[in-house]
Amino acid sequence: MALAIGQKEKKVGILVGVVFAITVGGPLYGVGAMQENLWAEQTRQSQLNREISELQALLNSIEVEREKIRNNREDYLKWVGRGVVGEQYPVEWVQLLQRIQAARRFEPVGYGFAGEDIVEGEGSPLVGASSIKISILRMHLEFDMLHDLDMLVLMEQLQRQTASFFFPVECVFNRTTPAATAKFELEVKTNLHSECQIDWISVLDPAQDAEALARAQEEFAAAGGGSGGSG
Amino acid sequence: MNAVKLPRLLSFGKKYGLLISDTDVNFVSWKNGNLENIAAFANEDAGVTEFTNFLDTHGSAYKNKPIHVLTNIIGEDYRFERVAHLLGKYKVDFHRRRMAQLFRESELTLSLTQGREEHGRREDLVLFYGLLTEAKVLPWLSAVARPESGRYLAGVHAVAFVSAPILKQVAVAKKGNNTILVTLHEKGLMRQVFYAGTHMRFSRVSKLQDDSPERMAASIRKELERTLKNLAALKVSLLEKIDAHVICPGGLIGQLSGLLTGSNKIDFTLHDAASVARGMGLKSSIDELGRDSSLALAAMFSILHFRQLASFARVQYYWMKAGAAAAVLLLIFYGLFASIPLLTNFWDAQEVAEVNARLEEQRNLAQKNYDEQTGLDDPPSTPENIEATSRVFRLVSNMTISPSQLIYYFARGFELNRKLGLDGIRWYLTDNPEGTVGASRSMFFGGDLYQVLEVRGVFLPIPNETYINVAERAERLLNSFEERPDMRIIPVQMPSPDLPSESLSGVISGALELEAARDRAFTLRLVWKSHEAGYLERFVGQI
Repeated sequence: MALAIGQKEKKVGILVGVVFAITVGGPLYGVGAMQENLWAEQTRQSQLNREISELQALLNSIEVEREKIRNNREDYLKWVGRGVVGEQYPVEWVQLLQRIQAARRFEPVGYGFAGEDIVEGEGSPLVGASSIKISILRMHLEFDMLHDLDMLVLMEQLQRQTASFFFPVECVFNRTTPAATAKFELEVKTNLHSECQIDWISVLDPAQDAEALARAQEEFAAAGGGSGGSG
Repeated sequence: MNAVKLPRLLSFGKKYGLLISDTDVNFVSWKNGNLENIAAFANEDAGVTEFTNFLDTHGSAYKNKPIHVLTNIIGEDYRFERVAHLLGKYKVDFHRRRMAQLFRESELTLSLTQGREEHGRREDLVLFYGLLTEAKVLPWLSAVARPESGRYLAGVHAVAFVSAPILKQVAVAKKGNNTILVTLHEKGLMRQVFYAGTHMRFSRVSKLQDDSPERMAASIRKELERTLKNLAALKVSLLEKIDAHVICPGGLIGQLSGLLTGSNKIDFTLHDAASVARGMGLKSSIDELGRDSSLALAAMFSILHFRQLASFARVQYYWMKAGAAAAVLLLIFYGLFASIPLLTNFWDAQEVAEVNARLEEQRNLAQKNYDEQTGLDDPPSTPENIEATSRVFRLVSNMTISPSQLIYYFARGFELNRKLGLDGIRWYLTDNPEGTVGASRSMFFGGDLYQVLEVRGVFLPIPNETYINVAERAERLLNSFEERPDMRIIPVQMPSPDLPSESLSGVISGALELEAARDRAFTLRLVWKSHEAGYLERFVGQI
């Protein structure tokens, strides 16, 4: 009465295995996947709600927002027109210095440029989340002065006549002969020497769209906006 | 535990059984309490052949349907013995050898260990059972067990060994009670099953005089007394009284109850066979196959019996199927339970996704509305870059950084102090509150920004003045500047009356001497905080 039941046992074993995989593994895997899916949807919902709130807030103050964007845009076109957005041309500044020196009959003015510094990233509140870079180009000026205000006059004229932006960083005015030994005579000779460092500021905008910019500038000009000017 | 009652879910639909008695064999089916007599055969060689042909003819109907076998045969032998307490293989081997001695190598044997002695050597109490007339059973088992034809033996049971559920219907077997279960057979037979406490010890089938109730009662009493004598011969210790539960047709209860009165040895209780059968879950007639057989078949089909005449290995398939089905059911229940969070998560995620889709539409609409109203459909750069560029140049054009402010401030103090000679002026930006030189980028990062004016010069000599006078002039110079909270005047080097006299030396000849002038030198530093930390953030916030 030997019973051959091996095949049956094997089938039952396979059946139990399949049922186990379906009933235990399946739900466990499914629960995990569904949970992740649920979390992802909930995160997305929070983000959408936040975006909608921000947009609603912007829309609620749309007039202010529109004015702000328009101003910024006009400003941007104005700065582009002034040539302070994009590549700078230091030779123009040197030519301007030359004209001022000649007009004011200053002693010969020495100049030179140091390296360029770049400010970028969210470390600066000015840059914020934008991709612009602030370029800082340092220029060295020096000349002998007849009058102790000559350097200040030179910088004032430079600032008045250039379309670019700069500000002084350091200035040194020295008497070439010590005050204690100076002869207080009326004679026309330079006994003052001055040196100054000034920083030229410009902005590099990698996201600038040249074609859109050209169209915007045309519209801006047609609307009566300036295309540049002196500061 | 020798048996487990199967839940209805585990009854596997229709079950098949073979009831083997001395004269005939019935092939029956069981489904939900309905017992059907499919075919009957004579218990002889021709009957076996006929049964084999029957199964072959209906091969597909019974293929892979395990068949249970119930024997109701005269010729059973029960031995109750105390044997040495053994375990495992030693116990199995010993019991096998003992049964071979007792039952002359019968194949259909069973040993049941029913406890141990409470005192003394604590030997095992074992009931040995052997079917001595196995020749009436074995040919049928061979006909059933043909795996090559898809026929399997689900188990071989003796009526006495499946009687516990029947007793449970009529009495509570408990330790210390001796009980005899008597089933009256319609063919002039009666079966007695003796229970010592909860353990079945003995069973026998005897003739029943059923001509009249009186003769029937007398016959029952006589056979019971004979059984008690047999038990005494079998060294079964009996208590003073035995409870006899007689299962008979309901119509006889009234007649027999007056006749089967209790004695000093036996107390009789009569039970309606039909109601006992209903309690067992049997819905069909109890009389067709014999009352004891019908009740035993119901017990066999509805309860999984671990101990039976065939070895466990022979019924492995049936057992495994039951176990697998139970496991599968458990797993399905578990899976359904585990699927609840899956379904809830799924529906939750669906709902959130639907809400998200609406929110996304709302967001896109708001964005479109915003873009339309702000007219930024063709911007020359990104809005962030445009705004940042505007910020930079507004700041730079608004910042007034020049040496002239501090020079003017110094000049006002200078005017009040005559006879001062200046050698040099240095103006610079720094983020250092002490005014020491440091290249500053703080205007782009929002830190403190200082403008510093450093002035070097000498106090020109005045005739006849002492160094104390010079120190007083220095003091006046320092005091001559207007006090401002954002301005610090730092005397880096000043003539002082505390100068040691050893440092004063020179030649007085009426002319101004350089050495004297050196001691009159001064260096002043004016430190002005022109921008406080955070101004940049405030500026950005304002525009």
